[in-house]
Amino acid sequence: MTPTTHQDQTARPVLTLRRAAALAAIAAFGLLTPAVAGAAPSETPPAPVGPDDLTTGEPGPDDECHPLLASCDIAVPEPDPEDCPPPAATCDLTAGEPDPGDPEDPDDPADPVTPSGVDAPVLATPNFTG
Amino acid sequence: MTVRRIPAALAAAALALAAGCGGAADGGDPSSAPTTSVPAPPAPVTGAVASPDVVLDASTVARAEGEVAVYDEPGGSEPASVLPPTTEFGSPRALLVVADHGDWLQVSLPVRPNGATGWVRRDGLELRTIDEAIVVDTAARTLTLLDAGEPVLTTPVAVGTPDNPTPTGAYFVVDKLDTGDPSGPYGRFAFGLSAHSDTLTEFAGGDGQVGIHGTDDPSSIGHAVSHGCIRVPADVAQRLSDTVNLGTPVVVS
Repeated sequence: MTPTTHQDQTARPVLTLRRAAALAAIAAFGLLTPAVAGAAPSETPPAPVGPDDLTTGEPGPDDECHPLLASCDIAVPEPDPEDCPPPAATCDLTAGEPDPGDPEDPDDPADPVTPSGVDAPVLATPNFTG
Repeated sequence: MTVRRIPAALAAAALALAAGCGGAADGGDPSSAPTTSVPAPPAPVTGAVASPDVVLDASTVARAEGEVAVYDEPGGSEPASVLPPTTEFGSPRALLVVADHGDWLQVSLPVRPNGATGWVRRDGLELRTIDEAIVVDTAARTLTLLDAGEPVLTTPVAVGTPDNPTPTGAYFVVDKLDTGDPSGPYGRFAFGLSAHSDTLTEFAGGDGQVGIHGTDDPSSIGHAVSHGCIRVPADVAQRLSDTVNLGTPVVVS
């Protein structure tokens, strides 16, 4: 026998008696309901925490990867970059279509330039006067 | 409004002197020059068109993605000719602008006779400003690359023989080619000009277009041995490829 075990055994009856007395008093005044008594579990579980649940402050699965959305929820903690999946292409506003004829755009196939922005030479054999 | 047509100023003479190319210009008064420019070249042998002055510290180049209708005068109803969107080598169409008249631009043309100009509508063209220019002195047999009017490179070159001289005048870069063959007769890089030989109407299957290019005979540099083209050392051809855009002015004196 250990002291800890002994204390537990003595404490539980006291609590049980107090609770029983309280329940009896409540029942006597007609205030007892099954839900309050905890005799039966609730049939309506709490709604799960979903994306952008501002009531909980918990970030949704996508919040941390979209600063514009996350900035609306002041309770969202700082995002952990390692937890973020790559952003969807549709959210990447920097990846615009090449501007035809843009001399600074090396990806413009209609107007090839070197990395320094100078016209790229065309691969061809000349027939100049030599 | 007219731009790019600065009164002939002969600052090229000062540039040539600074680059060690004395005697390149025709002896005007440099003090009257408001900016860097060279005088209009002499009228071509054909006498058809005289080139306007060409400014060398900044130039406007018109780029086209489609065909370019060329008119004899601004406001013309029927084009005198139509230029394809690319050259025969596939280079994008670029035309050196020599005068700006609002909705109409006067441009130098890459056709015979040398120095020909025409008028094109501004609509549909993209205008770019470039700072580079090239000056070739056939007497001194040198080529000078300018950036914003300042010489940044001078090199000896080979030029045409007395029988097939390099044509003098104000031209521009039409083609910028990578031959893919550093050991070939044109070297790795070649630049087709708007100039054409005054003596040869055909050469190697072409129409006598004059170019600046490398060579497989470096010993020819510094001599008058070509059929009209301007041969440069391989490292200079590489430098020009890294620097020069289509439409870059080329003044040959």
